[in-house]
Amino acid sequence: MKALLIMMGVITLSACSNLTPKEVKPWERGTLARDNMKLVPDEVHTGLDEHIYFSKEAASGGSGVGGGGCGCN
Amino acid sequence: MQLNHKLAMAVGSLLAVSNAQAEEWLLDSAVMFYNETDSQGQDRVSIFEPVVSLTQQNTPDDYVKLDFVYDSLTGATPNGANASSELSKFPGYYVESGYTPLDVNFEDTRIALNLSTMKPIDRMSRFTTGVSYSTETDYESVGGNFSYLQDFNNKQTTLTLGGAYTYDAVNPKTGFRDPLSSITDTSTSASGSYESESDFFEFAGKTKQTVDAIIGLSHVLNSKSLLNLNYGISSTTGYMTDDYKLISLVNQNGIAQDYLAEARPDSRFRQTIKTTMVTALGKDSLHLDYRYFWDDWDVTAHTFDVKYYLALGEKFTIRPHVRYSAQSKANFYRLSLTQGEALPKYASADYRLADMTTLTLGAMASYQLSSDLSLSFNIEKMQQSGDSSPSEAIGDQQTQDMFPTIDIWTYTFGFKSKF
Amino acid sequence: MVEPQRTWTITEKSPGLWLIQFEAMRSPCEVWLETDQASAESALIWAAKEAWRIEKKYSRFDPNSVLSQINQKAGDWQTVDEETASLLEFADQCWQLTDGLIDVTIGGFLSLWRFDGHTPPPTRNQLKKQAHYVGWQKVNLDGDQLLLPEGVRLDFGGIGKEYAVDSIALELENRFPGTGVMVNFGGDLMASGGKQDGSVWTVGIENPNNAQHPIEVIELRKGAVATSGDVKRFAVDKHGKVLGHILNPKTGWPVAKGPATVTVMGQTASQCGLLATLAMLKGKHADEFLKSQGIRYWLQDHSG
Repeated sequence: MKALLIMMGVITLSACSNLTPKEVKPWERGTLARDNMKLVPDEVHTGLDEHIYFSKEAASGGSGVGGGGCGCN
Repeated sequence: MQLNHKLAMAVGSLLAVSNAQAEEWLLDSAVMFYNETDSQGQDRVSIFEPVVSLTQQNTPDDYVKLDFVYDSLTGATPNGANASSELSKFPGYYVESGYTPLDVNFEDTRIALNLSTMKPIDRMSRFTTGVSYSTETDYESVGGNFSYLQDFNNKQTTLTLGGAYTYDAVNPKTGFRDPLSSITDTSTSASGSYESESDFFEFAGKTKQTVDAIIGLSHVLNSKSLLNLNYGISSTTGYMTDDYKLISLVNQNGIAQDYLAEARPDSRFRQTIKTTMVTALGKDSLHLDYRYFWDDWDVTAHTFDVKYYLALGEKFTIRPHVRYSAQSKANFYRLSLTQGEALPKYASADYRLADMTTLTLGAMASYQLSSDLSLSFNIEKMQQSGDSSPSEAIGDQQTQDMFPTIDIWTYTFGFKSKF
Repeated sequence: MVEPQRTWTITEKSPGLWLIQFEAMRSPCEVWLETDQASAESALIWAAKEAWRIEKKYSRFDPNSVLSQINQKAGDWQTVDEETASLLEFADQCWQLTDGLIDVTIGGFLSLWRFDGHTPPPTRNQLKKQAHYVGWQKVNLDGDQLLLPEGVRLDFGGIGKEYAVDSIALELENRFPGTGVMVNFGGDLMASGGKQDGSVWTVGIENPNNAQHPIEVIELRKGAVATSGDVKRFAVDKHGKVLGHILNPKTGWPVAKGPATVTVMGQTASQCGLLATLAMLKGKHADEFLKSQGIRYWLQDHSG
């Protein structure tokens, strides 16, 4: 057995120590993996909105390929 | 770099891939109610639009998705002619003085299907591919797309290369009109007389083809923010004229003497640059978008979009939304044509090609009922405004509102579940 | 091979603070989870089962383990599963970054040693012969395609436990965002996700020569600690000299003049464990090496 570390529970209050990482490692993407950190968090709502902008404005595109044509514009 | 940091990076890639998820089905659906009015008090279009998106997902990089959209539109839409102090007569309807002429017989339903899939190639790359189809009584579209995504730099950076092809056919209920011909001229051209006649679709129509390409770079800036940059091009060739749109032919006093069919160029080359920044602020997140659009019709547009996801506890989220877009007009946009002038090759009075700003304010609320069920409600108000008294207005046109402000309200109920 | 006991104990230490205790990887294991959710119990049992799964999959003693099967297929190209592929890719990076000091083919040498305190060490000749079967540079890895030369044996002993600690801690953090998670497998531990009331985990670093008096008590909010070295596992050479159990993969011989234990604090147990092992391999230069890495660490020399 390796030298033991003893867990002593939970006591003091403290601010975040010097453990704050300086560079992001992929496994630290807890925050970046959140739903509200996706490029498009609510796809269906955004899709409906984008379709309106597409049909009511002269400019369109920019977000990627896909979707399809529509006689609305 | 210290060995310590290099080892940490290696550990990072080890642990990032070990969280494979089990297969699951995701249902994302919504129903939208859309209502459009203008500042002259006229009711315009109403839309009822349910959408369903069903995804079978093994991992975020490995899924198959089917989207279904049904779109039912009724109401009135501007026919392109100017408001006048006189009664205006169009085939089948009259428009009172002082009002922007609306074509009241507007009605259409659209069904769109979209099948897409993403598959991993290896641990650092994947591709997506999809096909789309949509049909309306007067319009049909098929398309396919492909994109390739490659991770770099320990998955901190992702390059996306994508392409799409879309083939559309239109066959207006009113038939095709000769470019800039008078609507009183009954000799409309026969359906399908255009050089690239559709043989794919059931109905004979005029077609257009669009090729899109995009290059995107997404990069993790730090543990709380990421940046995405896209550059896209889109080239359309074929029939882009809207046969439901007219343009007023006015005399020296600005009074319409006739209405002509509009005519648009048969090619368009569009470019966009879009940058998106997503930042975490505690449990909240801020999404900032900016898009610059330009094309060879001389349309340019700046679009800003801000969304803030405000987490109120574990289950409740409020998302305010502001969007602002300002576009410059297409080079063939005309308020009207004047008698006596030589007819231009192309002309359209479609307000969507005019100088215009669109401001959208919205708020969405979503509530997580359980770990695999959430409800949402989104309300948005969109306002489109342009120049009501443009310098090119003459005579009677100067007494009329040449661009009534358009107000659009949308109410969307969303339902999301996992099973 | 006797199956390890598959039992666990779950205790609610204080309202909303759950603890599961079990044995895995020849160590006493603890997982702490702070949550009000009813799913705490099933998540803790999942953690124990996940530890046992990883242990069973990569055991070099169990002839039916995935690792043993891979070793049996040495000499032929074979396809490994995704988890194993990522561990091998990780092993490859570690080998490159450490100039070969971390080498998962060390299994070839390990099989010649018994660190029971009395079995004599292998002879120079034995080690020389065995050296043909040790060395990651002899292995071909291409994605999930692996070719082990005949006779080469993989051993994940140096990375398996820390991998289990980190992946279990991160998965619990994913399932219970914003709550406190602490995974401690025999002293290799990771705390992930700060505690909700802002308090921290407190960890005592045991003095291997005096169990009653920890060297230091550290506070950990998010991060990891791992220890390398063991005062209870050793071999004795023919002159009666005590040899540690950390082998140099280049010689097959334990490192001389190294510290008894090295404890490193960092962001993941995997990273800490690797640095601690590397420090052991640096022998008398352990302190110097650790100093250059800009990390917190604790060294213990052999008593007496």
